[in-house]
Amino acid sequence: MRGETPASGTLRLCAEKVRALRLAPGQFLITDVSAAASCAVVLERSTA
Amino acid sequence: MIRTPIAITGQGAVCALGIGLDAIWAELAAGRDGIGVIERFSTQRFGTHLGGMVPLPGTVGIDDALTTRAICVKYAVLAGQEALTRAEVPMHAPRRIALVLGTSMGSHLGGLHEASAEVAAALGIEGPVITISTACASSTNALGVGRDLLDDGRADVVLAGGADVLCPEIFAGFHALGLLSAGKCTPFSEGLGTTLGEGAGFLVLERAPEAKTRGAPFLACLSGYGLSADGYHATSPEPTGAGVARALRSTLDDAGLAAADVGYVNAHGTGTAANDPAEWRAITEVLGDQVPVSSTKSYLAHAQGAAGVLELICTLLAMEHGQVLPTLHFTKPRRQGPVDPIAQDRPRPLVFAHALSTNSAFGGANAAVAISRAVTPRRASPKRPIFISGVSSLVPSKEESRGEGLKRLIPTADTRNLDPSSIDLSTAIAQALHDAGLTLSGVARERTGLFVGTTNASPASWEEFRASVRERGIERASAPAFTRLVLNAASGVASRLLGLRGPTTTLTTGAGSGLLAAVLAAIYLESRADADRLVVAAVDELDAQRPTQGEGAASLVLTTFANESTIRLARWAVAARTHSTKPSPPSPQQGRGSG
Repeated sequence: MRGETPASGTLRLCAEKVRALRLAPGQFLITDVSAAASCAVVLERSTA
Repeated sequence: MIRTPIAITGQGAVCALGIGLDAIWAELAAGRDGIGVIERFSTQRFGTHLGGMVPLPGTVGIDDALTTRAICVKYAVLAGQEALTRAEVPMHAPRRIALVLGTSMGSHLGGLHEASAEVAAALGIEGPVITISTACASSTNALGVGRDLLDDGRADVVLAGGADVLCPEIFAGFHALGLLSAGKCTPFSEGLGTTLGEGAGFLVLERAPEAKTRGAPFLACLSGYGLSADGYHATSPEPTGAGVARALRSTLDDAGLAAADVGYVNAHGTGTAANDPAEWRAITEVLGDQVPVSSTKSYLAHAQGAAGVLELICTLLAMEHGQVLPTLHFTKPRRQGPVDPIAQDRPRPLVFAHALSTNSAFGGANAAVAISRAVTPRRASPKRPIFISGVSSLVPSKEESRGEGLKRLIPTADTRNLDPSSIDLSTAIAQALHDAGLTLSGVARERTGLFVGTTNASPASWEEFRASVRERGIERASAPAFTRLVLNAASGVASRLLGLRGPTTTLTTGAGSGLLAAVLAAIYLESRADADRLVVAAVDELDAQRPTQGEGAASLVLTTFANESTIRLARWAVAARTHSTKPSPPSPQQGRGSG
């Protein structure tokens, strides 16, 4: 991909991690920071 | 289980009626509107010359876009400062004060979020700064998001409201759409069309017990709110009013109110041929036809993204005085209008316990709020776990033309006259729904919403609009391009193409807008009964003005249902810019936004 994707970049990362979690259990912390706010989500698939 | 009531502890406004609440109430009580001939820019080439302009010295004779943003910030700071002062908000913990600012296009030609950041800095607010941009529903939507931040413990005080400025491009766009009234707008009465205005208004929201502990003033409770999407048309409301009705029902349910509890409705009431009858149908369906309904746009004109909060502030002022506001200039009722539009030239004495205020917008976004005179305990729905059932990430390909991916999934989708943002966003959402194995129909459409994060309206549509002005003159500006300049235009297209008619919002924080949309969607879905899933999406479009900007879109489907392929959205946070967001152990692998 070419160039910055300020709005969709982190959501794309979430999509990638969700796909990874479908293959193997685990946990990801995704964060983003702008001049306005910081955000974080935790994606998780347990072994149970 | 009871949810903590949310108190309104302060308010502030600048609008066509004046600067500050005292000036505004004097005009409201006297039945004087703030509509007059626009002097800030030339209206010579248009068939109408009226507007509801803020009577603020120093803003006359300025019409360039950069200054438009400066005026927008100035209005917002004035209104925000009045609200914070009246609420006697202690500023010793500024990182726990959030700003949620709704705006449509009044600060265009620059990221909307940048204007919000300037407002926050001027007011000393250091908590999260969120910009909601659902066109004319923006500030009502912002009040709801502010309420959610308090419910979720993400702030202790929220300054929520909106600001917009009337500038030549917006005037030209509404003129091109044929929506402007030749005279002063007369909602629900003979004489079709609206009158545009401007202004800013803010409410200070706090959890009621904490507000009481600190001895804050108590004006009313923000007892509920609701959102919905028409999924129908870029500018016209769904004629049956079904979308507005969903927002009203959702608001009542959120507030724990019955229809009979509502003593007054401040309607969107633009005065246009399309809006007023659709809105009245919705009100009748949800509340019956006996509730008094008026439109304060007859006083203020249509203040765009600031309209909702300004109209609510008018309602609060009237409530404080034991009155409801009339629909001014009312002559002869139209067919399919309110039984009681409060058609008089002064406020009417009426004490009510609960009132609704509703707004509808380009892009088909609807928002409504409920206020209550007394502290009103709210019934809490049990918190639901959130899962991700579908994902997509889209990078436009050189190998296929834009829209082909969407047509593969939705062969009937007509992508003609859509800008790149609308096509890419819709494609990403269609792919995520496909990934989730979802085909929406019937009630499922109404219970599936859309939360979108983005940074700017489509640069391609902006260029098309500017080119039409350059080539044909501002009086013949492109109406289709104008409708695509609101930040929620792309989400409106996606709602229509994909049948997403549940709660909807569009927001921006600049970078990270998509992730914030996910966080706000999780907060909403966790505790609300009006949606089963929320699609989260974000889009970026190439921009010649920003050479480093790339393009792409991504989407997640959040749901409350788990199956063997869903991934848990286990935790989320939104905080001040430099706050450390540390979900509790175990420490997961970390990823940082690629934007």
